[in-house]
Amino acid sequence: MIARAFIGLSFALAVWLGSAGRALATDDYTLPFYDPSISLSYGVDRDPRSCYQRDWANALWADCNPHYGRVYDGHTGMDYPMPLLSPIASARHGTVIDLFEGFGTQQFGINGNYVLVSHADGRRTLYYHLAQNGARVAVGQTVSAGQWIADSGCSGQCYGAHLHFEMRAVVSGRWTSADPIFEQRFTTNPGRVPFLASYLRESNSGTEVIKRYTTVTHWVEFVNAGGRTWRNSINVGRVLLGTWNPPTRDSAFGASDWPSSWVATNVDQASVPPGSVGRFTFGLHAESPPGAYDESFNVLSNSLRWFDWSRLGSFHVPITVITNTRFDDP
Amino acid sequence: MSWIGRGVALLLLALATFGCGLPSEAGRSSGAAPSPITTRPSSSTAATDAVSPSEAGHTPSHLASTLPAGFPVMPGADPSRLPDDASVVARWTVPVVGSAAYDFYVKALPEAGLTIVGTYPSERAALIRFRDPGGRIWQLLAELVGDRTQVTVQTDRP
Repeated sequence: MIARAFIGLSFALAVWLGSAGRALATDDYTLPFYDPSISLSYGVDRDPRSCYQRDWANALWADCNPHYGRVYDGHTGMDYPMPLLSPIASARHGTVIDLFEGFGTQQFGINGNYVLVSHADGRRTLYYHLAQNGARVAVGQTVSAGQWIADSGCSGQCYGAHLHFEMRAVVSGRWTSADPIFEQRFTTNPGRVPFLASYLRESNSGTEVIKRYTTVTHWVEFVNAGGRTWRNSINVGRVLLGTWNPPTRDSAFGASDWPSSWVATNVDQASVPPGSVGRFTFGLHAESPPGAYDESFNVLSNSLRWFDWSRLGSFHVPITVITNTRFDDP
Repeated sequence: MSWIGRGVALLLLALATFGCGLPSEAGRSSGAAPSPITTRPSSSTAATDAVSPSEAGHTPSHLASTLPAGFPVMPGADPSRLPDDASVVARWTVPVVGSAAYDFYVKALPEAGLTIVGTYPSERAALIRFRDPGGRIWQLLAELVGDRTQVTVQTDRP
């Protein structure tokens, strides 16, 4: 019994030691862009020595050469290649404390355009090489996780259009660059873009046949394929289903349970973590004359960012309104 | 061949390619996008108007025999010493800074029949991995050296 307890204690100690310096992956930070096809160009060099490079997986190179997809010597952030003017997202809820946007979008030089955000955990995130006048926020503004805060560029010390994303933390009284991958600061591992979903199923994947002046209930399920938890409270990052093509269009099929003329519903569950399934249930009320119709919907986060509609299976509901003999003239 | 030998070969190529009436790019702004000058590995595969090393009166140089066929060299290229690194096959500098060299090669390599398999921009340098028609993977590294961009072509490595 004592031996088993000792083994268990040893195992727990080993696990604790193995995780020292790492944070548990919680609903913490996400990748600072929306395009899931973007991959890392170079990560943080965790070895302070010149011409020694250690990446997030503890791989070590004793040279000065850049190692694509991993690290280059002395690098303090994470470089993500992306076309000029790509949307940049805040990696976490926070407050904008500094920005600069006077450089040309592709102007080479020591300085460049950036946005600096302070977070409640005491860390800061830096978004660098932005486009000229590319900031979509102001100093002092509160931003939500996943909020579109800037457009990318190649300003400053930049070889090829990319975003330099850097996380800073105070260590021993000094601001020091941190490695979010090594510290598992992203909600998912590997990190995912903040908001992304894929279509799973719906209550009726065919045509909803609605008798005029009546309401049917429809639901659709999407997998949370992004890095942020979906919530249904407006105070903590609400995710909702709204009309699409064009967005925020007043629907002719809005039912009494719709929060507004273009919002069909918030996500049903209070919390839908990454990898889980979120359901959206809403009524469809037919006032329109008998005929064939089609209603498109898309998911919107925080009232700020629409999801990639194509990944939602271009979600739409074909509707056929039929005569209600009780009310319609024969 | 030593780095001196390869450097001489590169110099000969540069002279042959750029020294025959082609305008210098020295005055070009950093943001400009110069058009490519295509190298030819041998006279038998020559198909452009550019002057090849063989036409300049030299045996096809080490450079021409090691660079992928049709590899585009930026105008204004000045040869540089090769490092003591067998994986490096060519190195030169061009009178641009920032993304100009990277942007040039992202466009010019595919046009030359060389398939880009990965792009890795950063603050310090930009690396492009590309595949030649024979399936071999190469790397092109563009980095700031002084007030110019140094371009290095090397065999693939992690």
